[in-house]
Amino acid sequence: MKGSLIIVAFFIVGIILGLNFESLKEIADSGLSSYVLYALMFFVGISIGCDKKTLNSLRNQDLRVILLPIATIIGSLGAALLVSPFITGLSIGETLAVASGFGYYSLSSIIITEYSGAEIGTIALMANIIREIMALLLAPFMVRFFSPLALISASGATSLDTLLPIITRFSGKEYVVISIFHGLVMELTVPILVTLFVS
Amino acid sequence: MFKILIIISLGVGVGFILRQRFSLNKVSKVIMVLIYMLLLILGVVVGANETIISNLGTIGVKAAAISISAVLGSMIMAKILYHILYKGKEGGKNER
Repeated sequence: MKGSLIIVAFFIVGIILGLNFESLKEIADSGLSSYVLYALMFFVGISIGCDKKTLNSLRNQDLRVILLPIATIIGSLGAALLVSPFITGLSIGETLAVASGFGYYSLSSIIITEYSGAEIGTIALMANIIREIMALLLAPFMVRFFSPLALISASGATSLDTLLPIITRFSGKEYVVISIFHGLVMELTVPILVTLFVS
Repeated sequence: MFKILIIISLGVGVGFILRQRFSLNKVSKVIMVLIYMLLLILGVVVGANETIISNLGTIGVKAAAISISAVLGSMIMAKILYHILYKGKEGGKNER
């Protein structure tokens, strides 16, 4: 949760700077952000490549558990597809890209901003923060009415980190491994799906 | 689009080959700093953009609509999967 607060704080400080200093906008528009984004994606790649845990956990899972990330993806994107006619100003692809953030708001909003502009980037940031907050606040309700797996699904990519303690508590300890695996797969999927839908 | 996917793949390759040299902690720190920078820039762009600032309410409603439906959809799919996998045998379900 501390991490999320820092991220929101940076965004808000940026807004305050942007509101008050017109000249800063030129730096922001200069294309600098594209290069920082490329650097970021390169390091995200490195973190996937050099993490022995990722490969091992992918290898050690039985087939049933692999179905959960697929359920999360189909459920999120299917529902987003259904509401997309009601979301004015966003194309179907953009709506799907926002939903493909799976709670990983920092990365998804940055990629979406690069392709679709700051307005839709902000929607992505908000939508994915809301996703994390919903999972945090509604965890007991989700487990009770939708099953222990539903809480993991709702958490999206955050089932790996922020939501893990909550999932341990409300879904149960036996779901920790599934939860970590689910979060890892979602985290790998976010940059790929978001990029595919937005461009 | 392919630019980003190629850059990620490059990173995965480099990370895998040099996996003994990289410390995941340090890489994660670099990632966080870059994310902070980009969100600061996104904030500046949003703050300087009058259309976004004056429409922040509508933007929030759209964001909520997308995320609420996505969460609902994924929970429904997870519930179906849960019933297929555990077929009514509910072992160790939500105590506490």
